Amino acid sequence: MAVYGSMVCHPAGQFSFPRAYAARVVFGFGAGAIITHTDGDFFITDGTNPIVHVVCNLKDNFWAYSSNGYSLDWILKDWYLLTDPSPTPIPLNLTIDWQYDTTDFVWEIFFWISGWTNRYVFDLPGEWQPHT
Amino acid sequence: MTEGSLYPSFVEIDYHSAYAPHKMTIPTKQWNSGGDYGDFETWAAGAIPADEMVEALVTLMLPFFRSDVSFDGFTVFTMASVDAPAIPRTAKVLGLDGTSTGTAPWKATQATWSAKTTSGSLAKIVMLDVALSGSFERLTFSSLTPAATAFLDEWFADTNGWSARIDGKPDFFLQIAYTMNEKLRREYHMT
Repeated sequence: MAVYGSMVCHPAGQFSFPRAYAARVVFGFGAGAIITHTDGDFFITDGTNPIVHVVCNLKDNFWAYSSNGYSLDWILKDWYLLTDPSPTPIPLNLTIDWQYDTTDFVWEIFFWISGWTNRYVFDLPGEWQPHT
Repeated sequence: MTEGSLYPSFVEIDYHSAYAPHKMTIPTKQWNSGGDYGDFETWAAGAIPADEMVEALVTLMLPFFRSDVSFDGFTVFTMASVDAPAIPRTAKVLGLDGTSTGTAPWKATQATWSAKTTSGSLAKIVMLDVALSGSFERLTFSSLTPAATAFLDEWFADTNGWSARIDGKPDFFLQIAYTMNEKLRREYHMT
């Protein structure tokens, strides 16, 4: 069962994109956040309050490189808050933007929460090589 | 240039509508490094800055797209030979929005601009999510708008380096054909 709060997507939730067009995922959190991940499962620890964590799980089908198409409102499995020592997930609101990075000239998916200050960038798996 | 190949160079233009991102691939003559973004060889045996050539064409495309369509940027690729991989050589942000006030349909629509080239081959430019103002009738020379004529003049100019996949300068307008793009219709959950 997916766990997340209110989700707003730009340009739209049904914005449909080939997975191959997305070069990376980017998270918008406060300064000093510590982010670890295994494939599309991310664990974020707040930079100023280390007992506060955000869990972001992306769907496995989306994380793997493919020529499949997905919509922005489909790719997220979980997005919730954990406050140590409680194991109870607290659904968190977020915004998901499809945007063009004007420095690297690639499209990216930007997950952010209100009040974010810093970008944390993670490349999505690319086309395997050699590709024949 | 060999038949069907994008060799020696091509431009990939990134744009997105309210529904999806798209890539427009347009073959060109040889790209060479130099200046900020390099130069394309032209059909008049000259050279033109790559960003100048691409931005001029994209600017003249804007009247065919609604304002929720944005041209994000472009990348120039070169190929060392027909079978060689395409290598990205330069890229630039565009940040240009459509200006059309055309009416529906514009979701999952496709306009295909066709021209004959100076070598007798076909050149095409495909635009997705364009505003059709209710008509799927093809447009021929006699029904072209001034905006369409301006776009074609730019695409055909021998002072530019736009090309076809089978070589030759786009030179003689054939038609603009409109359709619903079935792949996009499925992607947009319209079927």
